[in-house]
Amino acid sequence: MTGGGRDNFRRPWWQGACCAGLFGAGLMGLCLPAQAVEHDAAVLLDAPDGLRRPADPLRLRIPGFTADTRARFVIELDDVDVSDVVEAVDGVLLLRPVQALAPGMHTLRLVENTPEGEIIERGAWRFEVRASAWFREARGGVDGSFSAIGRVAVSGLEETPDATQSEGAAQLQGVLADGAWRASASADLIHHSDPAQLPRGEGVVDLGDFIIEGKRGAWRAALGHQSPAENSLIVQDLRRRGVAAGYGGRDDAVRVTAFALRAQEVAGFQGGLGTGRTDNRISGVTLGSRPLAVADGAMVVSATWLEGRDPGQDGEGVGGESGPVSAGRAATVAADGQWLDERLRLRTELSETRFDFDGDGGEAPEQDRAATALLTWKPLADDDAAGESTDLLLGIERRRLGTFYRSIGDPAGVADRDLLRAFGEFARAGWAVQASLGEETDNVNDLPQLPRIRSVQSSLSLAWTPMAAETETETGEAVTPWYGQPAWSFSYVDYRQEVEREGAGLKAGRYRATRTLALSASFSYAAWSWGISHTLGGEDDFAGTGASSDNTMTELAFNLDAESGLSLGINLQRSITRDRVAGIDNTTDTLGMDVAWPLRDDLAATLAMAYNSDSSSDGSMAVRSFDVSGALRWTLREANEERPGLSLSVDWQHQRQRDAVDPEADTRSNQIFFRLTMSWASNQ
Amino acid sequence: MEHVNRDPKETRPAVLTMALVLVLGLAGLFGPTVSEAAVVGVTATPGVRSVPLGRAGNVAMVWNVTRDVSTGGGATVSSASGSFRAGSPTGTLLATVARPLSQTRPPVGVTIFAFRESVLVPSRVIYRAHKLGVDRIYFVRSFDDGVAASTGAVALSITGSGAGSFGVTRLALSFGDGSVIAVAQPDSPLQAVAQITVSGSGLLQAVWEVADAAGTAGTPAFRPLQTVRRYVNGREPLRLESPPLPTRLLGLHLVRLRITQPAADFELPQLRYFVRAESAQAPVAALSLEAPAPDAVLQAETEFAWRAVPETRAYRLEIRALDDDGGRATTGLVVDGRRSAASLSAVTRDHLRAGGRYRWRVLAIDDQGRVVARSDWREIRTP
Repeated sequence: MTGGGRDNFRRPWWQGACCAGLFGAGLMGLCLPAQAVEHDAAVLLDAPDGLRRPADPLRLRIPGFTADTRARFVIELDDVDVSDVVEAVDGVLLLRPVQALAPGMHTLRLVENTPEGEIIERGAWRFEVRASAWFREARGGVDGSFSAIGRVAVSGLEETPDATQSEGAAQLQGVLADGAWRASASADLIHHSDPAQLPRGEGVVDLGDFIIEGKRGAWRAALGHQSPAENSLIVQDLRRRGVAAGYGGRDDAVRVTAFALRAQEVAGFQGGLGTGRTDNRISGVTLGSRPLAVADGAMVVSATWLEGRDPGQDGEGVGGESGPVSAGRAATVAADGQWLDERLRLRTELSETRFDFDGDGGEAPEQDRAATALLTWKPLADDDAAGESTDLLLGIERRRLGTFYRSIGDPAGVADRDLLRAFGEFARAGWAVQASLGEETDNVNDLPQLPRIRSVQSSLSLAWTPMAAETETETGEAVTPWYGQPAWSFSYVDYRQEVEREGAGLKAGRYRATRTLALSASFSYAAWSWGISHTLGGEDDFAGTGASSDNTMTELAFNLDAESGLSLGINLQRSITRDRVAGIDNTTDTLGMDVAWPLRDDLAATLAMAYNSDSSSDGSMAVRSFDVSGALRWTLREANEERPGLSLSVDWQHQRQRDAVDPEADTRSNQIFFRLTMSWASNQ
Repeated sequence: MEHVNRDPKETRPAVLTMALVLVLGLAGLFGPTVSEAAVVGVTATPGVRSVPLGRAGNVAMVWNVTRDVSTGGGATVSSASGSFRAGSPTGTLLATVARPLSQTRPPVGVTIFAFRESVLVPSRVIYRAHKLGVDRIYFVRSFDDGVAASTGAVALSITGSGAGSFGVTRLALSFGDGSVIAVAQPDSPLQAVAQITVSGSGLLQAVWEVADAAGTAGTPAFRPLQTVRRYVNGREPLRLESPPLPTRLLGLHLVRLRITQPAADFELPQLRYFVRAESAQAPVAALSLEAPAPDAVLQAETEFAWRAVPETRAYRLEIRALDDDGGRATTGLVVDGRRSAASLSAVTRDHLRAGGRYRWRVLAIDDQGRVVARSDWREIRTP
């Protein structure tokens, strides 16, 4: 050892620190798993051009990832485990979505199941999928078909149709979205060479249903056919053409919508947006709020106000009382709360209407009120009772609508009711039982010149759908039992009325009564099913103001959907109605059959047949009809994204009616047409 | 020859007799003869009906018009219109029904003409009568055969909504989504819905009918789909659903609910739907599930199994909450198309809350990303 003495053994301080660090790292190296993956090394690689499109693959680099460690990792895309379809390519995990991702934000998550049994999240990424650099969503298309029809032969028709005709239909859709805004539109167009077949009765092209919607943040607007107001005492199924705008969604604390709709529905290129006519328009505003944020949906308060003018039931698809124009106004407030884990529910609603019953007559509008209260309690809500999931619901309802209560937003509504009803529902092990008992009176406003009728309705229904235990064959294939998957049901409804207070010529006592008992059974198999039902009913008239009758109806149905593509449906009905006063039985028999049969890949046949017979025991009626229609269709080529499809078909229809009482009313007609159809579909 | 001078008083009776014969002869030439027809009476059956205050009513009646004729040619009995009157057949006019009735029959002694009619009594008519302080409305018709006229009336008592003669006052048709015109793909499910408002109670007799594209190119020929017999009361609007509508034939179809009893006094509506040719998308086949059984309890070892579908790139197992009406699934699993069974990892099960109820299904996806087969939903519970 040469000189240097103590100095020879003195090292700089940093050299000592490095030695200590290396020593410590060595010790740690002995403790760590031999192939541990550093958790902060996983990286979701950027898209090559910075833009992730719906079908683009996702690339995830996990340093140290090998085939041996692969089984420890779980990769989730939007909380769905996709580990089984991930490929490892050059140290990069490649995930090709099996379905194109929807535009918008997505999450990718990497989780490791360590050998020690821990579940450790190794990475989580949020990324946006866009259609293009300009729009997050951008898609549109037209699906439709056009047919040229040629008359082959007709007979027995009062008017000979045109030798050539055309018809068609198309469905248009489009979406644009980016940032916080989104616009969408859909519309149906229909064409027919005969203007009488179009809604507006003129031209050759007409408009079906359409809706154009726009959203920006919580703001929204819509033009077209829509239902902007929720059902309540003053609004029921009010779907019309019109405009609406509002703020807030269904899950927001506050939701407000203002709307203007056509009072009577319209179809076709007529009526504009539905708000142009003041004598055929309903305007209003609806508000929904969740004032108690204790739990989701714990309490909802809603209010609706509307007013408008209605010309009567002369819209598209409706018939009834028409004219003159009646004006009306209505408002309602409702509160709906649920507590105790949604087992207890209380809903109350108060409303008021003002309606001009005589239109342009001299009487002032009538004002009246309505109120409802509903209380339900679930002692059992999917609770385990003796090893089976069990549900039990008990409820009571009170509903009172004044005699002159009438809302312009509910043209089908029935007022003048004071109802008290109790009901219950029970379900367990495939059994479902429903029972209800209600009593109501009319003449709610206690008008002295009107009688008062008390009505009592009781009902009971039972349904049993046992799960048929499937057996396995030697090859492990599941086989349905010989009796199929059964479903049984029974229902009984009893309705009785009595005159509680005399008036209008009605004397106190029994007034009317009806009862209905129905039984049904159905059995389902893998490819076919059948069912039978029988209904007995009767009505009794005690006041001489109506009819007394009995009715029985039996139905038998059979359906087959074979793997070969053959589809068969048969339906048989027999109804016998007996007029007890006249002593006459009326019998109606109906037999229907539908068959669809693929003869070849490009050739298919369809056939529909219906037989109907109406007769009475006194010989005053004896009418039979027989209808057959069908088509033979040859697909020349299928439609795809690059070219339209083409098919040729022969359609035929035969109808014959015989009237044994009036033979001069007998008819027989035949119609045969050729149809050349072109179809196209868009790539959305 | 003796000339007799007669007293003027003795010749007066002869002159009167001659004048009477002359007048009768002229009357016989130009006036009605005893042998011509004459409406002698009108009765209505039933004589009394009831209508509810605050809503429309619909009443059916039969007018029996008696005509007396001895000899002569045929005659037509007609009524130009009916009218609603308040309190009595000659009371205040409330409204007019401009619907003529007419029958022509050969004369055979005493003849009774029977006219069946169903009349919608507007709510405004009932309301105006109530405001006038009367408890009855009379529907009045006058029948005339050109010789004589006679009037009949049906009394309509005003009641509350619980009573009222059985009748249909409103019928609204729509498809399942509420639309009144539809464009459908072939073999797609389509159903019509009828919302019916009735007054009174009784047996509703109707039939769902459809005229399919094989006939609408010419004269639409309706065929029955389903007979409806239902005892109803007017306390709630009645909702009827049609059987599945035919969507195999391409082109225009018409569907309606033809109500035979009680007869409605308005034109029954009908709906149009067009069946267009199918798009490029292949039909979705049914996928059979094998395990676990419905309403099973999910355990760590629970295996989901299904029947394999040819040419499948991958299977997607979706698990959703029962009240989930769309959007992304709660969790799930995607496996290679060569597999037909899989279990959920602990990471996946961690997305499900304890003691919950969920539903699940399996989709088969081809290499184009299209769903080629789909199973039904099954329920499953978590412990």
